[in-house]
Amino acid sequence: MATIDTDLFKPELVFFDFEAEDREDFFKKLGKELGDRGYIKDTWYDAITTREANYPTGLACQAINVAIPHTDPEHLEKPYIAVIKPKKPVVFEYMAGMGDPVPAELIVNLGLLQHAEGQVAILQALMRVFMDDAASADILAQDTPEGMVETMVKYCVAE
Amino acid sequence: MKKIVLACGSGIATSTAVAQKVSTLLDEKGFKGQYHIVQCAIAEAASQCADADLLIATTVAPAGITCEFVSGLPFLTGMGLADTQQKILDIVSK
Repeated sequence: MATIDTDLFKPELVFFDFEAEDREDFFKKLGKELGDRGYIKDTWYDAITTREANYPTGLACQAINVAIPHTDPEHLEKPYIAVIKPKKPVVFEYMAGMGDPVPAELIVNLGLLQHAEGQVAILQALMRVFMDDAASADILAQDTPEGMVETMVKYCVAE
Repeated sequence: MKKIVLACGSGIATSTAVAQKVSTLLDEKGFKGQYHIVQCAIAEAASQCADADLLIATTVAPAGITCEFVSGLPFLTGMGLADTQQKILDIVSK
């Protein structure tokens, strides 16, 4: 098992009650937050919305409805994972068009740079968490950025 | 030797996560050394699949593939995972 790069989770990239009218609005506002903090390039918004339109990332998991939007590394300045709990669910199309659109209660934006093992380990860990009722409930119950990072990290390093 | 192509939008994130789960599954079931996995972006899948036995993707099946196709989504969501695993094992045992 690769070591998980838990430094990718950052309190400054945890957002609660995030207000967004729809998916475009969500990406516009998230892009502003990420851009202001120097994580992404100007090309990010177009890249991630195009990518999401072609390869949607909504997932109705066993325990939670999530979306894991991501884009190609060339649109990033540095790697990160942003965790967003929207005020009201943001509708994402189901990955691979496998089902109905997913009203995502939690959005995890993966700013991954490459095939770095630790980053993939994080994705796998996230998927494990989203299949687990107790872990998902625990994550949704968090209300501070530090608590969210701590909880994410806790479940991601647990085997 | 079975060739399994694993594809997602970019060939980076979800395909890697699924690839590791698929190889764990196959190794556990005794197929170690009898298969190899090629990862790619879905745009390259059709050409990669020309000589492949199985395509597993986290996107819709691309047009023009000639090998078997299995969705990799159950490895991400947990929904229908047992069926998907069985389907992969059946294809690899052929």
